[in-house]
Amino acid sequence: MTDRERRPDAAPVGGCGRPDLALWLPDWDSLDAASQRELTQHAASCPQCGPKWRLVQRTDAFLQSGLGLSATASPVALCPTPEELYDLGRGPGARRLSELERVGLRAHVAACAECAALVETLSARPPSPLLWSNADLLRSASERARRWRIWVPLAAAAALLAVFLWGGGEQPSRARDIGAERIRFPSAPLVRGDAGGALWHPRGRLLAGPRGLFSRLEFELAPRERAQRYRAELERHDGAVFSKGEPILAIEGDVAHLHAVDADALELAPGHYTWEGWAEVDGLHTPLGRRDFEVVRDDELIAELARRDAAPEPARSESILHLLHGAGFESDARAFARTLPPSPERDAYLARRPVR
Amino acid sequence: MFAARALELVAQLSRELLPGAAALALVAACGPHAIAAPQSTGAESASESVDDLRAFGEALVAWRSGAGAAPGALSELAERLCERWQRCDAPDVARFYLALTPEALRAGWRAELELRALREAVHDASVVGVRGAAWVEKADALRAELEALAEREQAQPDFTPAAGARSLLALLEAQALETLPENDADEARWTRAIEHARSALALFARAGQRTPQLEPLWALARLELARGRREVAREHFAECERLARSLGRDEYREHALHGFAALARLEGDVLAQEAALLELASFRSPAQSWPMARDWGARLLGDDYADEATEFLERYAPPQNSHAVDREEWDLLIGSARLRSGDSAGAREHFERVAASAGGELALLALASLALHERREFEALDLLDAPERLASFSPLGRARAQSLLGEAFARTGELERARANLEAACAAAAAWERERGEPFELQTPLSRATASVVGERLGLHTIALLAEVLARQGAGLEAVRLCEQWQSRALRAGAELSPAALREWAAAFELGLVTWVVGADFSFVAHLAPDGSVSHARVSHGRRSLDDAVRRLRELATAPDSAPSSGAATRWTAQARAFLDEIIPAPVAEALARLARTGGDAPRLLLSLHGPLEAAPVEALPWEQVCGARELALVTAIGLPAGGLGVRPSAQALEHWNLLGGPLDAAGREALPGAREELAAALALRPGSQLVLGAAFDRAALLTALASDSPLHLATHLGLESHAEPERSAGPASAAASAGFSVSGDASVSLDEVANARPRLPLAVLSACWSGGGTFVDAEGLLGMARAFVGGGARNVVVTLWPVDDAAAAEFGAAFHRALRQQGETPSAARACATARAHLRELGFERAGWAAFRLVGRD
Repeated sequence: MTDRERRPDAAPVGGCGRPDLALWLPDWDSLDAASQRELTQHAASCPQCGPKWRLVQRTDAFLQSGLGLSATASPVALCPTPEELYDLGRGPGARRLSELERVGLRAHVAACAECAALVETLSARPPSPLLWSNADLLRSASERARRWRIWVPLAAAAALLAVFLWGGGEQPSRARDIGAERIRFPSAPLVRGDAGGALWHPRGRLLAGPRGLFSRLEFELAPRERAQRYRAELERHDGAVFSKGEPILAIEGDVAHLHAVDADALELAPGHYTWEGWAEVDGLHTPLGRRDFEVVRDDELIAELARRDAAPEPARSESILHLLHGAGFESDARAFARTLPPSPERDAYLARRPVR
Repeated sequence: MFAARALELVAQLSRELLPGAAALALVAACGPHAIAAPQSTGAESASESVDDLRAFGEALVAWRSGAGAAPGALSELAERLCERWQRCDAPDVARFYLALTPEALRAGWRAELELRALREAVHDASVVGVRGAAWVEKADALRAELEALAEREQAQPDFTPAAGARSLLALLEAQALETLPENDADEARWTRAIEHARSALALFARAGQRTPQLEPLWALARLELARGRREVAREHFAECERLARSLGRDEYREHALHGFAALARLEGDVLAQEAALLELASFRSPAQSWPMARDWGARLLGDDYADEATEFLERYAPPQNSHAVDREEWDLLIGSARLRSGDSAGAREHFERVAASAGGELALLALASLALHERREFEALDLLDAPERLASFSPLGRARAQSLLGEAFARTGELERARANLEAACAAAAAWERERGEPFELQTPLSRATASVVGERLGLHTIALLAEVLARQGAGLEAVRLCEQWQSRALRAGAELSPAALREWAAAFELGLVTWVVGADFSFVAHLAPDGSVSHARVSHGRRSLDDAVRRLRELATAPDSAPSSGAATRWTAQARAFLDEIIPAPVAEALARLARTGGDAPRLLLSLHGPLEAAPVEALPWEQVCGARELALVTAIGLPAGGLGVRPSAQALEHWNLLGGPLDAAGREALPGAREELAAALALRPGSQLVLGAAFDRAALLTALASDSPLHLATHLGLESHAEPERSAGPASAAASAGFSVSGDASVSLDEVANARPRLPLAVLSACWSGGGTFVDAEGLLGMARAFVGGGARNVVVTLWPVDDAAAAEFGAAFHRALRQQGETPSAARACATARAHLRELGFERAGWAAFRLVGRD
């Protein structure tokens, strides 16, 4: 694995003579002494890495002083853990919070500017010990408050560092500056396993407005080895658990991503639909499964989307994406993401598969 | 309609009765050339190899026929084949013929021409469709000539024509013996036929000829299959497939794969059959191979895709000049598909064509099925209700006829006669199972243990019919016993379930036991109360309808419901109630409500879920609306396992756990942060437990825990992994994927390894992705981790119905242990599970979080 693969979130390395070393700047405290020496030597002569290295040193010093804080005196003792704040921010790999946890955390964040800032800026889950002994685990509950006190300043520093390394420390506002590749994409809950089946999209809810579907109707299936053709058959039904559908559409193609040729003419009225997928594998017609979706007319949401559409990029794209995703229109969010310029983040989002 | 299911079975019957339909047509085309060109070509190199082989073949014929060829040229071509194309049998072939005297060569060539003429005669007879007495007479004459040729030439220097004659004799005998009624062939005939094949193999081997060995190998496999020696047949088919592959002879690869498919079909192994067909399709299109098109069409029909089956069969209909039997098979199959689609007029056209051409039991069964479909029960009875007629049927045909008769009598109200016929059909299925000759135990590899003779050859429709007849006659307990006895049979290793054992199961749960049998067109549900009384009802939905409803319900259950505007919660409430009302009809619901009124706090109900219902999210259904019990504790059974109910373990036996999980990924990172929290919480509640976490959670640790007597809590990923390529002798690779628990070091412990470990644990919590899932096999259920644990001897297993959020799993684990500790001296895992689900719900987890957890076992 290359360094870039290990640290895709690390600082950009343009103009630096040793990008392999620059990648490890954010991980300064995890480097061995020899690597730290090498990085120090490089930073002394590199105009790109020098300022960042100095920030790292300042952060390190801050952390050392922070660890000495008195447990009882610290006002952050009541703050949530950085892990919890990260989960609230729903970054990549975030834990799914229960409604109670979410409500409690939101209440705290609303009143605590530091934590609010952390929610916005934590770009990765804080590191956690990987190997625990029984004794460690038994102690963990009693030590939790202490860990909070240690981690919050650590996270604050890490966040400061992340902002600097990410944005170059030159822009007053990330929102005004970032390009399309900096759009934050909705995160996926951490789920134990993957059983999303072969029918990927559409699923859940599809948004419709006064002028019909918000997104073009597209059928995405899991590609099947040696398949020459794919087919999607669509039925409309009343939504009852035992209802039988009435066929309204069948489309075929030689790739696992199908859409009607005359998609603009296709009108799906609000209501319930089931689609069935087929692949022709070596000439054998193979069923891929069935899946429901619902077309929902939501004029308010359409209006809000129109309002956000007027915002400057990339805020426009990011807000539209999150609005669709958050409102449960995941297939529409996905269709919208497909219109965005390619970037590793976008591609990772589009490569994400339903898990159930 | 019931009849449609029967017709599917008729179509299946046609395949089983006529396994060698196209066999004879092939004979002339596959003459025993000493060495033959591969048929699979395409690449330039393949074309060159064909040219070299052809040149060698022409030189060999010229040499043998005395038409003149330089011995040196023949040797040179043979060496070239060996060097360039690794066909090092060619020099052996050349050496054999080059060593013969001119006289021996001439004599051998004359015999070869004689053999060729006999092959053409066989071929012509098969294409024309000579059958019945005319074919018997013709075949006898051909056999006599072949035997004479073989006897005469076997001692000659060129004995290869004798080998060819014996090979063709074996094939003719295989075709004859396959179609003979049961037990009509004497042992001497089997022995002689097999001896022909073995002799041909030995003679060809002596002459250094590999390609001609394909035919006797194939004949040998068919003979063993027809004789019922399936493992021996499997080995011969495998040998034939290996040799054909190495020689590039696709037509024999095709035969061997059809052999595997036939074996799988006889054993009810749907996945193995599919795997064989998929492998076949990798080099043959359905347009080139009617047997493949036929089997795949039947597969689609068996899975209730009637429209798709019709379209597929129309597309790949055998050509008009094909063998008569192929066209009859097509008529039967497409007629069945049309009938299933509701097109009885179209079906009639096909069935009547078969009746007019072939007649026999297939036509009678098809027409009787059609009559039942059209509600003409007396016509069906006229066709089949004649003992002397049934006596001439094959065993399978007789069983199908008895099932149809049972259905007709049930509809006309003659319950005693219906019962007698349906019981006779079940008895035939029991006999087929015994014929399989395999122990009824959880087989390994479990993921290929998909055999279900009941599901694939008898059909649950017959079981549902008989259960309903029994219940209507007042034999309710016998109806319940029938439902359980004929489903999930592997869990009991085929052992009988006694009425007393059933009563014991029901009496152990405050609300008793509910069981279902899901047939093709309708289902039957029965409730056995703790006092032994039975209530029952018909469910108007068959397998396809219930399967789709369960899928829809699962999608609703796992849909995000946090946004009030989505309406998901409201829709769930309505649809969950509608589903429950269908699967628990009024008579059963009333019985449950009566019991719930006196069942105390958190009464327990045992649901023996079968068919599509095993995947239904029953834990999330509004049971309180049906039976009034607010805190119902459900125990789910996937059939009643061997060993009976047993004794619930004490609190002390559940004190010391093996807590395993939190695997590290390939990069050494923690894959599931919630797993650590979950196990930490469990450890805090069970301080004497053994914790294995992170890097220490490896294969050895998990396998050790599976072999212990301590309860197990496992928090990890359950992923899908592809099967390793099995030994060729086991047949083609299964298309099935096998589940495996992720452990550290980028490794896993597979489903088969868990099954092999036979985990006899008092309780296991499988806090992983969809640990209650698996590959569905009719009449057996979902073959997955839950079955591996329960079948292996585990008393109770907590599984998940779908991939669960890491956070929900962590919270559930802690809540479950807390609840279990509060249960007293003999804790109920079912009640603890229900309490933990309720806790998650109170915490605000969505339905996808709390409803995922299920207790499977005995409580």
